[in-house]
Amino acid sequence: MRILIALLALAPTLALAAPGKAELTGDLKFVSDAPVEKIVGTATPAGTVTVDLADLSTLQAEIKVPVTTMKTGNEQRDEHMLGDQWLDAKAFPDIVFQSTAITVTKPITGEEVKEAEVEITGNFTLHGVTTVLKAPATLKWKENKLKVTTRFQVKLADYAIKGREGVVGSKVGSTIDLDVTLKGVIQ
Amino acid sequence: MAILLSLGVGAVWFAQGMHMGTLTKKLIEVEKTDEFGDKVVERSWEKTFELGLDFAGPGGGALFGLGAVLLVADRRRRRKA
Repeated sequence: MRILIALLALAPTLALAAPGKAELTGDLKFVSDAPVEKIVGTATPAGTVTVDLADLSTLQAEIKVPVTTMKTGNEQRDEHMLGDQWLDAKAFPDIVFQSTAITVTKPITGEEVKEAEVEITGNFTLHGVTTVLKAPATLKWKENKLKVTTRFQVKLADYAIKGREGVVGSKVGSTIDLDVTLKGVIQ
Repeated sequence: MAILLSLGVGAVWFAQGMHMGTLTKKLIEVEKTDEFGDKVVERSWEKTFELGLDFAGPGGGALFGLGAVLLVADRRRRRKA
């Protein structure tokens, strides 16, 4: 009987020790800082993560950003951004990140809110071109609530995004900064 | 002169897409503290009104009207004289 009670008491901990899955939603901010113009935009990423919080190297994630959710505050500019000279939303509707490996760069700290820093390696697909991307990320969790934040850059030329002639490097930065926050509840 | 000026302003308005309102929305960033105790930014887009090309169409029209009124007034003055 005592063993049964002890097991029941430990159940929530055991549940978190096993790999759990979370549906993630969040927001993405992207910044193009070019000599002529600075463009700030937002998008709505979503995805899933599977992780055993006791062993972060088990983390597997797939995040998608529908390019139609990308907004820069100017409808005309957004239309151009989704057009075939830029992101070509009709042919490539999603930006996708699929993790392949996790390296823990700062081990778990914290009591009520636990935190760890990792480097996530994965396949990043943008404009139909897939490259291997490494991004630093911070994982935070409180009970079964999980938050993932990451910042990284993408170079447009790496993804065959040429844009209108003469615009990349003057009005649009050749490198775009991305700032992503995702949250979910581990089931 | 006013009519010529209105044609110029109208041409700019036409070339820019004949928009009657401000195209650019402003990104509003509100800092909050989330359940993890972190400062996070909530973002939303808000419609704004900026002086500029919004006035090019109506401005061109007003200049054209002023030019027409001055032209008619000038003709009447000449007839009377």
